[in-house]
Amino acid sequence: MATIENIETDEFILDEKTLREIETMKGANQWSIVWRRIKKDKMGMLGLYIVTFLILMAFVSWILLQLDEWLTHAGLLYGDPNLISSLNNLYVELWIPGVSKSNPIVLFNHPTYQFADQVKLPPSFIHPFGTDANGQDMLSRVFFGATNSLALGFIGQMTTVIIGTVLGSIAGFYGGIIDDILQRVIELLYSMPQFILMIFIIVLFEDIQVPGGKYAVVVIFFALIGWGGTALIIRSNFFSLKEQDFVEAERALGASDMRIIFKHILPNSLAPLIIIVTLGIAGTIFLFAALAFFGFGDATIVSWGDDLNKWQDQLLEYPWMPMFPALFIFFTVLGFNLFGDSLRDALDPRLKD
Amino acid sequence: MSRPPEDILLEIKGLKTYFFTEEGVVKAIESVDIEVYKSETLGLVGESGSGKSVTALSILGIVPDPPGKVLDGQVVFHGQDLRHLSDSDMRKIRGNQIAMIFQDPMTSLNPVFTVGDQISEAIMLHQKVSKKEAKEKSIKIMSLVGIPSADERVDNYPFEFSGGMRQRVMIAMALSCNPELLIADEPSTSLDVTIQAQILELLKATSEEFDMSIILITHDMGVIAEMCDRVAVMYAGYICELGDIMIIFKSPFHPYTRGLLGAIPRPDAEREDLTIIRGAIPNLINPPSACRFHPRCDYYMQGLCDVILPAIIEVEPGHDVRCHIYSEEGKAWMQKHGQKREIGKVPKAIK
Repeated sequence: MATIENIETDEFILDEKTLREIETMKGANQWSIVWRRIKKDKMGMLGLYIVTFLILMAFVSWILLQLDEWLTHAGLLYGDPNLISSLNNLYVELWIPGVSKSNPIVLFNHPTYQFADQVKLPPSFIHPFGTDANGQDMLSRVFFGATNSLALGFIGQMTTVIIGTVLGSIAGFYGGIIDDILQRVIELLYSMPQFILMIFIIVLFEDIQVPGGKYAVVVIFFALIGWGGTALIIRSNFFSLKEQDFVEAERALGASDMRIIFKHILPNSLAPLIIIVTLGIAGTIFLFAALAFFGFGDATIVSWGDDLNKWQDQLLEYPWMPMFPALFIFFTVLGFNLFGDSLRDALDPRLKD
Repeated sequence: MSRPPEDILLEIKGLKTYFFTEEGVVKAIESVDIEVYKSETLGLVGESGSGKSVTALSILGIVPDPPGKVLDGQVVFHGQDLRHLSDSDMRKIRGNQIAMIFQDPMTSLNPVFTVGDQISEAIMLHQKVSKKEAKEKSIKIMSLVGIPSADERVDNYPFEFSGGMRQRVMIAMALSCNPELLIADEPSTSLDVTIQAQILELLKATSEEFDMSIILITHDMGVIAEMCDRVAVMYAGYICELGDIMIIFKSPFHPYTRGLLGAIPRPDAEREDLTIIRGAIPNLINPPSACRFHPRCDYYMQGLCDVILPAIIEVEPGHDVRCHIYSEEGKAWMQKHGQKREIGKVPKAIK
């Protein structure tokens, strides 16, 4: 029989859920709540680690290339100008202490440097990812390719998402003729195969000189024809959101249409936007890689997509050549998807834990 | 009981709002004339679909367009017709001089912002204050409307509040700019009875404190009796009776008002059947001709009520009725048909 005496004391210890509720009641900051939710999600954290690692890699390699260029200009470079020589010894000593400086082992060299006598080498101690048919070190290619691969995916996706969001929001909010026009334009864009359309446009504008090289043209036109999907999703989201009472309440407070659209309704569409961006970055990297494969990329640029496509017919003979760029594209996609999913769940205050 | 015209804060004349839908034109408001005096509470009562909320939205000029459109009428506030103001001038009045609270506090707050952010925004839309000052002011208003430990609750999201507390937040938002007129669209309908009483009490107290007029929209005659100084009874897009609360409850003139009052159970009365108004509110795409109440009216005068729309008749000072029983045409009709009706006679069920 239960009496005051024999009730187990641990029944009175608050469980984790209650503690969390109390924390919420105390008005914990939104981002700390989001962070706590992501931390709980193991796959989300894995995604975050991968994404962070890749972004760091892209950033560091970009800094190194800039440094190399600057040192070359300043005439401060010694040894082989094609190596990131000034930094070589640093790496060598950091990674492999005791190797003589007269015969340095190069961990990273300039991605376009060709070792004339080290062609098609399988992964080894000196070239951890092997070398390609031009004698370029695959590890360096992959490392320095991160900048362009991620930046292209990110910039391309962000421009389409921004255009799609603005157009989709306005069409969804006002409806009527604006919405009709938008829908017809999207149907027009989607009635043509995107990929063929891209190639057609790139060929059409091949001779145009744009600051930023060929990929600038690719990104601009990708943004111009690729916004439809985002616009449709945001539009349908707005259709249901604009009927909500808080929109009317906001109007009664004297808020302008633009304020209601972008400050009040749009944040409610954050979840689909995050999914579009995260999935889209991976998709855009793929698209640009495919374009490069068909000769519509920029051969002078180092990126995973260009490398993957350059060596994909070597898969059986020299698997390391296409494999490592492909592996990094795979991890990019995986990382962004895992993290995006987790962030979506965490950002939605309507989902209670 | 009528007050001098210079005490009028808001005057609505001949307001007409239609909705142009695919099924046809919904004639939601045909002709509404109301005046709201300074620091009074005016009740707007009627069945669902009688146009109460649309009247409120028309005053603020936020009838959803499309499909809605205010076609005619004047909304005179401080001597200017709100219908002819530009969009940006109108926005300065909304929320600032005329505020509104809505029926459902569960959905009237934006779920992705903290309540503090939302109250602060209401303040910052109309006053040049810093974010910090706005937040301090939000906390002050939140404690004023009776939200406990407001300085902590200000950073909470709407889902962390109960229904009654959310309605308090809505009231705090509405009060944040010291409005002269508050339109409360069924503020207590979705709350349970005890919370209802608290919210109404709060509205009453704040209206006195802020010297604010209220248009209280409800279909609950009990709420009207509790809260209002005057009451306007709406039916199918018309105001059918408007007058002092005491007069209307004591001796309603319009048959519809009588029906409404007869349908309230009274604990002090002897046990007897409640009266009902037969039929249902008409489809406003094809409303009944002339007086829209005539198919349901016990005093229906054939050949008159369905042909000529009764004018507004001031049966006594400050008491307007729109019904043929009290009109010249009605008298002529009754004489012709040999019927006599005592003006203001209260049906048995009401007493």
